[in-house]
Amino acid sequence: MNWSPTRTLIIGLALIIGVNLVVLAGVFYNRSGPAESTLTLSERELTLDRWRDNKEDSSISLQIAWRALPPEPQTGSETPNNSWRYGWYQGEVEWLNAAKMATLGFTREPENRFASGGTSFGRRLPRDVLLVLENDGAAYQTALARAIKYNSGSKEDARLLEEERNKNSRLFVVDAGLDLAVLRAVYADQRRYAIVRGQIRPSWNATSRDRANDPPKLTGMVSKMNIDRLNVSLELRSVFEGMAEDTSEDAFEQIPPSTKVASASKRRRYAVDISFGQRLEPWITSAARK
Amino acid sequence: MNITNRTEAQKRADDIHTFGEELQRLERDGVLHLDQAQLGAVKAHHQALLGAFGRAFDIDRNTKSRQLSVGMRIASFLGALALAASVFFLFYQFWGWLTTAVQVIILISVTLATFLITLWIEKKDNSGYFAKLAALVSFACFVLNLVMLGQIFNITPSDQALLPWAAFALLLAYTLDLRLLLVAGLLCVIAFVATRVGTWGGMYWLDFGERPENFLPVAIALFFVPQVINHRRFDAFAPAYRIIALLAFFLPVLLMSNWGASSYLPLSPKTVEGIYQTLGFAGTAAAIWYGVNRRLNDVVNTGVTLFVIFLYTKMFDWWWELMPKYLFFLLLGLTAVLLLFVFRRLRSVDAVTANASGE
Repeated sequence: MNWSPTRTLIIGLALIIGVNLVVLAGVFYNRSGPAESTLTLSERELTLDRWRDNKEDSSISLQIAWRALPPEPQTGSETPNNSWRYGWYQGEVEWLNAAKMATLGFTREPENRFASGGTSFGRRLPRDVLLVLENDGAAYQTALARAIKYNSGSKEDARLLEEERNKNSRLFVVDAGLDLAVLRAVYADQRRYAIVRGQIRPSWNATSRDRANDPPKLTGMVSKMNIDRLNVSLELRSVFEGMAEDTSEDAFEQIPPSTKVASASKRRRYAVDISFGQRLEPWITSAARK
Repeated sequence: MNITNRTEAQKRADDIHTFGEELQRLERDGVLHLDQAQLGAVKAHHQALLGAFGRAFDIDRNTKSRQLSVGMRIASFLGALALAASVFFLFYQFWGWLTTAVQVIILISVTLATFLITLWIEKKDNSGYFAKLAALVSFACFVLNLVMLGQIFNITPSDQALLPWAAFALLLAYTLDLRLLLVAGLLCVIAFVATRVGTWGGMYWLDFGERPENFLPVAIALFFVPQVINHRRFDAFAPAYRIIALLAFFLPVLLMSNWGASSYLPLSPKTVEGIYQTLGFAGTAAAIWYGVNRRLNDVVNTGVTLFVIFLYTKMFDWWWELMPKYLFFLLLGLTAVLLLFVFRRLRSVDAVTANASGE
């Protein structure tokens, strides 16, 4: 093995230039041709990223605020008014049942360790899948209808209804699959439905306390979108500059960004067009103040 | 003896100094007396060797020089860390004010520039400290390059970035005889193989750490690399391979011996923990035996350290809750004394064997 400086020079230059060319070619390919989907989102769905709001970082980025509709609460549930706010706690999803989980490759039934005296089920790791995002569609209308239905007239319920009407994100994960063509055939409207890469984590839904004989059933939760932060280029920077965020809710800081639901007081200050390309990677195509 | 790296040259220089001191003692005690011609020939030969080593490897000729070298090494390492951090924060400070094209050009050109500067310094710098510092900064720039391209263009995070990072780190490590970058490269290789093994099982690549068994195949392979590829030319590269491999193997085993649920094995967590506890003790004992047999100090020391960690972890499991604290620590202390006896016994057996073979 002869590591002469000349050989190192050639290999090093080829490596640096080659890898950068491969990355840039991937970006070019993603953005070539017609976009796979294009969504127009407001500040409700795209929040200014506060997590990197510091003096050491001059960039501006937007966080995609997505949600998923949980099952409608059972009668007599202890917290019927709050249980529809999926994005806050990544709970059970209405459409993510055992049959759907099987189509996503989660075929193994939970290992019933309770039967042998155990106290838990086997390991639960997420899988990379395709997620269907619906912007301001039926899922949002359902969430709004539930907010109205469970409004008891209390101050808290009124606030929740107001948030659902004017603040919360209308971007919902409504389906998941492994085949882009199959999903696109079902969700044909490319201006309302975007298909992105994300992760589903298996979970178990207990219906009985006798877990040894009646083990919980396989279900799942949407755990992550692979890309949920969008970089704002210098050309579009002026749209977002000077928009000081509402700091009235201290708790906002504690919410993980991937599950953050828009909560500032003014949530329609801008409209942003996002395109998702051949590799389903998003980028901002235009942005304007409202 | 053909000297191929700095460590060997330094060892030979130390041997020459020790020989000179012992020769003086022997002459003083009247055991040996060399005439002036013989002494002159030996001295001239040694001076020529030391001069050649000094020119080729910048060795330390005395204790003071060695102490200063350690200081230079520490300064070089800290300087590289600080410069890499500076490059990182400098870019973050201003990149929001640059167009996308300028961002990309800066990222690529800074990586290229630091790489070229590294090779230029390597030609000029006999000691190697400045070239090594520049190499670490260059590697940091390459990492920043790909990370920032991912952020600028919203690219899906991928484990494939680990491959060029590994290649670049290993390239610089083998060119400049730089162990720190060898370790960085090996860690990238370990992480890449572990993520690949994980994704073949349907796992998302960033969760690769949740299945510690993913690390085991690559750790075993890395351990035997120095046996397949001769690393004599490189300063302590073979021990670096073996130590990293042992850690990459036994730390996951340690994890699974306490967290059986993380295993792929279709067994109850308690059974898995038992299996990996046994593997931990047997494996580290085997590593010590292998190291003693092959005279590999790095394997022996790493094996002993890991064996003690396994032992103490198990003792903690068994006795921490049951015993008063003074008794628990007394047992730990007695175990350490027992280990000392075992190693003293091993050492005496080794000394007898060495005497018998005339070493």
